[in-house]
Amino acid sequence: MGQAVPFTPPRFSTRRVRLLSTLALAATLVGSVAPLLLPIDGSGAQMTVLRLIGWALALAVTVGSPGWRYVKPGELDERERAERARALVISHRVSGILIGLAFIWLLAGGTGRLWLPSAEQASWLMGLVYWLHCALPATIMAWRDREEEM
Amino acid sequence: MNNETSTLHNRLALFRAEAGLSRKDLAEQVGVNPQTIGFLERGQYGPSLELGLKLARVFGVPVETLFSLEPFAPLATTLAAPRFAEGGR
Repeated sequence: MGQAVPFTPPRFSTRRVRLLSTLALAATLVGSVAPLLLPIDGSGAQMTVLRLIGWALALAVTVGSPGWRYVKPGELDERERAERARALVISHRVSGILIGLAFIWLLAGGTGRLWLPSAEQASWLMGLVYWLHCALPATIMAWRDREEEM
Repeated sequence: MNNETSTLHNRLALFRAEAGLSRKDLAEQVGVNPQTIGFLERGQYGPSLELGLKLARVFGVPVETLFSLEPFAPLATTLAAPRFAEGGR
């Protein structure tokens, strides 16, 4: 007896994933990092909305493309499975490096010699890392794919 | 991923063109995404044994006619060879 699938995610085209991932990265990066570097109020409405838009776009990429999300058996062919495995490995490494850098930053910051973000600012950066982790496999797959003449 | 940068040579594009199949048609017959056919033809992906056999079955040839570990001779050379063997006529 077949198991009922409660939700079948959509599958975005390569072009759409490329566009959404670029917009998501730009919005999240600007909304999270720019307030730390420039005299911008990061808690203000504009930056908050920008971050939310970036996170929503990253969620769309994550759900609408077979990267980090669950993939049904038979949904991908053998090349796509291989590409996905490769993208997941790269994303895992990127996440590991970012977590490692954050760890070093915290250790160095604990001595008082390095600037540390406030809890609110740290949450923006954590959001950036989290959504990067979720959306990166799909993004890598989309940018490695090609528009083929059929 | 051991078959990402394939050292396998193939004549898939040649056989597909001769059979008058689009990438989409061929992909449907062997159960893969049409983009995968493009990756195979460009040698950017080496197929599994199962996929290789399925592709060979579509064209009705042995798998080694379609795929080789050595580069295939250019088509012009292959076509000209029998003529030279017959005496260069």
